[in-house]
Amino acid sequence: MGKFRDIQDFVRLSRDSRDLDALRNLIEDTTRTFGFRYFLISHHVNVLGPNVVQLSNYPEDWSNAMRKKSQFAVDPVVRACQKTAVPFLWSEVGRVISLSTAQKDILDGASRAGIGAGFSVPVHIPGECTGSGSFAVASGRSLDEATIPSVNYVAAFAFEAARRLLLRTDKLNFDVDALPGLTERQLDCIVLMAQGKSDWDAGRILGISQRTVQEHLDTARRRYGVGSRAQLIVRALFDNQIGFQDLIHT
Amino acid sequence: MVYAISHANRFQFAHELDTMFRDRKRVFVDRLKWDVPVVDGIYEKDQFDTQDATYIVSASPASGDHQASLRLIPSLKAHMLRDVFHSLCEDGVPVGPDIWEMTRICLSPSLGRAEAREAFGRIWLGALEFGLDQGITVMTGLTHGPMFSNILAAGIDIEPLGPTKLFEGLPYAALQTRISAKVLERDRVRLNEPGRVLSYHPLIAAAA
Repeated sequence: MGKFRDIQDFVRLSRDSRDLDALRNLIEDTTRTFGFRYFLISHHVNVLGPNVVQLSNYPEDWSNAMRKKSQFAVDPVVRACQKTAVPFLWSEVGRVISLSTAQKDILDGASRAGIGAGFSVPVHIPGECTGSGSFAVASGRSLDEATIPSVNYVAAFAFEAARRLLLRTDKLNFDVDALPGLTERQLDCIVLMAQGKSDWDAGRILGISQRTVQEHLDTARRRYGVGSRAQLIVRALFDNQIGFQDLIHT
Repeated sequence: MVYAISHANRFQFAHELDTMFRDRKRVFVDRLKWDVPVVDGIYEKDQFDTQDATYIVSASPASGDHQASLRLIPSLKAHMLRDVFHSLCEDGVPVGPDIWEMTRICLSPSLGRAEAREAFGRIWLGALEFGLDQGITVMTGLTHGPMFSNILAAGIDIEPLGPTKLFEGLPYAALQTRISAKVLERDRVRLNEPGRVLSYHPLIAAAA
């Protein structure tokens, strides 16, 4: 069984990975030491291209089926990662989001494809769409929860190693510098608006006038170059300037 | 302007420190809801803000208002990893004359995202310069697990010191980063900052 020393080795080796294949093998070796059969380290986007982090050893059939059905958008793990910053067991995903029938089917389908019990670590980097690292044992095996406090590091360090490899080849399509600079105050106003608060309510909560709230939102819209407040919310969410958890956990 | 503010030169930076402790309250208490002590209702100060602490502070050249800061404490003195979070270190808390702890990284809520990133880059370089001035080779620290990716994405090579542990439902991690002239050189290039950013004295603008 893996020891914390294996994680420290992984941290050092992942930093020096020459390419994505070497990194993929390294992740596989390290996670197997801890009893995990499958992993998936990825940004959450439906388009699988070379321009986002996407490393996995999931069964081919399962990955293809998910892609074909365009189920990525309803994937319960993806949804849950957008709502929390804390690692969670798949068996407890129902505590993070309420599962629809379609989402329960996905979890059952994964199990039939050989992917057993697992856990996921959300990865939120400002200016990029949400990502995660997931680790699973083979179907029928039991997951040793004592490994999670060590293995969860693999998600963050593997994700970063992959980002650096992609950035080096200019393949990562996120340009943080191109993000409109919004102040914390403007973000506060967007979050309150997205929670359904009126400008007047938002002003009361923030201790500023209704007029000032309106000005903050107008400035933010101009910085994004969008006409409506709905577009502003969508863009701020997509860019991770605000999170779903800001809007839902009120 | 980036300053190293310690017990010895603190009187020259009364405004910078005042606005720093106010911003720390706004960020850590009001925004992040940390359960940490508040002094006079407006300052966030804890038991480790003592005469042993040195603050690396980026302040507005015009107003002296705090923009970004972090706290450095010698590991031979009372500090968070040794006194509160030692269970996070698998092989014991790293302690020695060349090891200091970095905590309370705070970016002023009044900065935009791009400004905040630049201000963070300045205090990071300032901390490296201070570290090399003092013969520091290792900076330790701790973080919530979820912040880990942010630190890595900021370009800092961190090493975890032990498995994460849950405190009040959040996974915490102890970590360290090794510093050297080489790291400073690399990060100056990365952050597009050719020369030294750190000063121990208020800089008085030359008359035109």
